[in-house]
Amino acid sequence: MKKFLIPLMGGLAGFLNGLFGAGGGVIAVPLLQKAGLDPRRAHATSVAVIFPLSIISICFYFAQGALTAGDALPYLPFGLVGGVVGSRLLKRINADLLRQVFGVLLILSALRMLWS
Amino acid sequence: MLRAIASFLTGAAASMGLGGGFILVLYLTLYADIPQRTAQGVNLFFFLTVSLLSLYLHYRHKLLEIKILLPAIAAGIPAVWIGCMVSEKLGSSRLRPLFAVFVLAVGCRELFSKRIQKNPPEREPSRGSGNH
Repeated sequence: MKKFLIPLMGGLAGFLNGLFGAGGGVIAVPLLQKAGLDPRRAHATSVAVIFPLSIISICFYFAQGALTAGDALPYLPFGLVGGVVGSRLLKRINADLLRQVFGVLLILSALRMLWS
Repeated sequence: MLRAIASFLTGAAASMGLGGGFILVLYLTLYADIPQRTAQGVNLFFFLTVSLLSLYLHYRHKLLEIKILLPAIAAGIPAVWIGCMVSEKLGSSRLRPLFAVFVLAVGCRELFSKRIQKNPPEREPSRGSGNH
């Protein structure tokens, strides 16, 4: 395992997590794979790395007055269902197809965001 | 209905380490008219709740590489602080296009890497890179 990739991954994921409140996994997963983890372990481990970093990020966001807890509550019930489904699919799903669909979705959304 | 779909997709993608946060932040900013930084904060709150369950399931499935967590998190903590400070300085209006460009780059990379990886595993299945 290439050891220097691990702190690099943590630092990049942490910076993106603080800056955008998202995106840590996008950096963490490929770097974990480069460090020698298979795709499924890289996906799962990235969640474990980003979780504590997100706790720190959200403390800053609360302290900076960027949100209240009530802002997020309406999105949780279906998100929890999605989390369970996603974890179960992770062992079975076609990762290439998933990435392709996800990529198209991101490109279209980003273009709309830039245009709006 | 749209909120339910966005929440579901975010939860599913987040649990797979795919960057599901993008979906929720994009939905909140594009369709719900929520300021960029608030949307990001909502996503963090959402991720923490959903990933708690995912982490448990990943742990049960023995998918976590425990030994790398400490060095990764230790490096990530000061980086989080820097990211949060930069985010606050920029503010929602300047973060929004920056976020869009980042999402666009990630989307393009996902498509590009798909093309690179598509053929080799089909031709050489004996290498066994965890693809089952």
